[in-house]
Amino acid sequence: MISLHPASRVRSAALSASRGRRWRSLAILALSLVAALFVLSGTAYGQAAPRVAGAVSSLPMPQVVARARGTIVSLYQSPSSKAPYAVLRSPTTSGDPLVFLASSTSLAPYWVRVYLPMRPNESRAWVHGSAVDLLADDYLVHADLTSRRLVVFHGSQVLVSAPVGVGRSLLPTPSGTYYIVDLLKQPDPTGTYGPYAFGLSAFSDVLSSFGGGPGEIGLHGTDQPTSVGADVSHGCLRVSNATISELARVLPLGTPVIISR
Amino acid sequence: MRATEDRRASRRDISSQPDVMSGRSHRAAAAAAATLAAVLIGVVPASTAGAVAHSNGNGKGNGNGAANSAASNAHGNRNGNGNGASSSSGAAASASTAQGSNAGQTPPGNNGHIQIDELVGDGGKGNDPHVSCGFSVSFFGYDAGTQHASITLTPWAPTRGGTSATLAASWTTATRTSGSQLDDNVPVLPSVIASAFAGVAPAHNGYHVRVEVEVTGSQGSDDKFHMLWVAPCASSAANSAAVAAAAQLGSSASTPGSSSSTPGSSASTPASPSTAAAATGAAPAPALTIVKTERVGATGDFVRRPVRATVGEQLQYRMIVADTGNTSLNVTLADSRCDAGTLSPSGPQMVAPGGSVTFTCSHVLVVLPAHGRFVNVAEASGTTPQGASVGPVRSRVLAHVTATELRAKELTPAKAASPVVKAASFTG
Repeated sequence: MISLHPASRVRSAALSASRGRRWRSLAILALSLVAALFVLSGTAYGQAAPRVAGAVSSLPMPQVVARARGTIVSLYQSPSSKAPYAVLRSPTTSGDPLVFLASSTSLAPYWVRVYLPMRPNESRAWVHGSAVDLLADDYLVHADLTSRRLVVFHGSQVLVSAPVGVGRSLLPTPSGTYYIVDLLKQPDPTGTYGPYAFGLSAFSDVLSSFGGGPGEIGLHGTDQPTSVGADVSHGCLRVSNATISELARVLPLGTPVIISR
Repeated sequence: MRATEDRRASRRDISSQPDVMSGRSHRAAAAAAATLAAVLIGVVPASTAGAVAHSNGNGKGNGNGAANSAASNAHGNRNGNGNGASSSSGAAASASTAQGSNAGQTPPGNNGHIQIDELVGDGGKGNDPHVSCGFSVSFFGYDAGTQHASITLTPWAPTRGGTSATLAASWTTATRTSGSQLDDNVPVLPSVIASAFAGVAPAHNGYHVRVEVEVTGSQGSDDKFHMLWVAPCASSAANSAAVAAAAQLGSSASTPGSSSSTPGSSASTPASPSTAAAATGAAPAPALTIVKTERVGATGDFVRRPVRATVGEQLQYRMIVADTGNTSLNVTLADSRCDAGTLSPSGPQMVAPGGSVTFTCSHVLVVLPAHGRFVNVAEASGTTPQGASVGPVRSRVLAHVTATELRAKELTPAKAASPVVKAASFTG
């Protein structure tokens, strides 16, 4: 299993935090919350997906990404279903390969339960193991809407801890367990989304469409640096251009994005 | 290795008396075997009294493992006739002439026992000395690997005559877990009975037949034989039903699992939609049989023997229900472990005498069953046009299930995403 034990991650993060006072205060705040949430979930590592802050989101432990092998992936309500209820195509409309975050690998390699990049948020389905390649993903993104902080883990290490702009009260960022669906390099790096924008499997609970899109929540840079760390967006997660550039360099498609309040 | 004629002749003297007998070649245990040979179908090469008694324990409760004549008597009682008290000296003669292997050895192919069941095996609940038209031979506890067996049916007094018939069977067992492990269940279909006893008038109890089983590759005597009464088939139509069933079970009735087919449903075409009873004026005698087979996944042979599967895999089942009576039946199949919507065809199916219907269904193993054993029983019932019920008859199959744990660390690490140049349209 991937070394993403929440406890060890927190311990390691705490050690790193001792290197700097300011860093420590921020990291401890964020990580303590994560640790508390995992503990509150009452679930055992590797046995069940721990819940975060009472939200319905869940985190597969270890993190496994399912990447489409062919051009279609059939979705089943259960492994016992006689026929699929839907089919998704790969690559996606963005041009990226179709990937899923695994929700359960208990029946792997024959079946994998995955989160879907579609409404309703956090919807899941079973896909046949022969339709996907399973990959190990050591990264995890956690966005705390209350503290407006984004923490990115790599294994047991904290890779990034940075302020994040979140949805305003009337256009809230949805909480839950999501994942990175695609990565778009912006033609204009000085534009609204900054140099890069990750598309997430989350969708706005308020906006059914936005800017010609389906109301998909993104994690991106910004042309308004002062808005980072505030309740300002239409639901997207907004970080500095430096942060998004660093994340675009390392994060794989399928990386879980846990949004909690 | 087939037993010598002398050896057989000696056995015949005994086997003509009780319904169930067995012989084995085992020098060191000759004395014990002399007593026990008359009461056992199973032969355990280790040849201790306990080992043999264990084998006997798979029968219907005859626990005699030492007393000679008492064993024979008990044997006769077990089989429900008065012939069991054949002379113990006869038993001794049988065993003493069946020599050839050394005590304590467990030679391949001779490390198990057999039982005679109705056409649908009961998984080790004892021999059935009186069977209906068609029966089956169950093999238990043989060595791991591929075993080849022959089953020879010889018409016996008082219904001597006819023609001997020999069936072949083979199976492969990965691991021998116990002496009670069911290795294979080979059907001897009514058509075989009819062929062997063609032109022979049945006695009051039906046909008396000697069933001799030989497993190749054994050391010493590997013969095991069994006397039983087989009821005449209700009608010749039953034979065609059985043949149809056999055709769907495999390339022949004696080699289960030797062929494969695509899951689906089919019904054999009976000779006539009208009942045989009506055609002949005979009284309706409804009867039906069911044979359930299974396989793991969508390819491979359907087999009667236990299969090995992993959590997450799909088990596919095939149930052949044959009308072996002389009247048509409205057949209903119940199988609680078929996944919803997978049983096909659904609902009652009309089957004419001599006809059969094949049901299929599947089940995905989503959890590890208790003790790793997933047993699935299919139950068929029939109703005649006159409203009389027949059945239920049942057939079960077993899957040994294990669970695997995905080791994510051993998976290929996901690489950083390759950005696609495209203007975003996220909520911003």
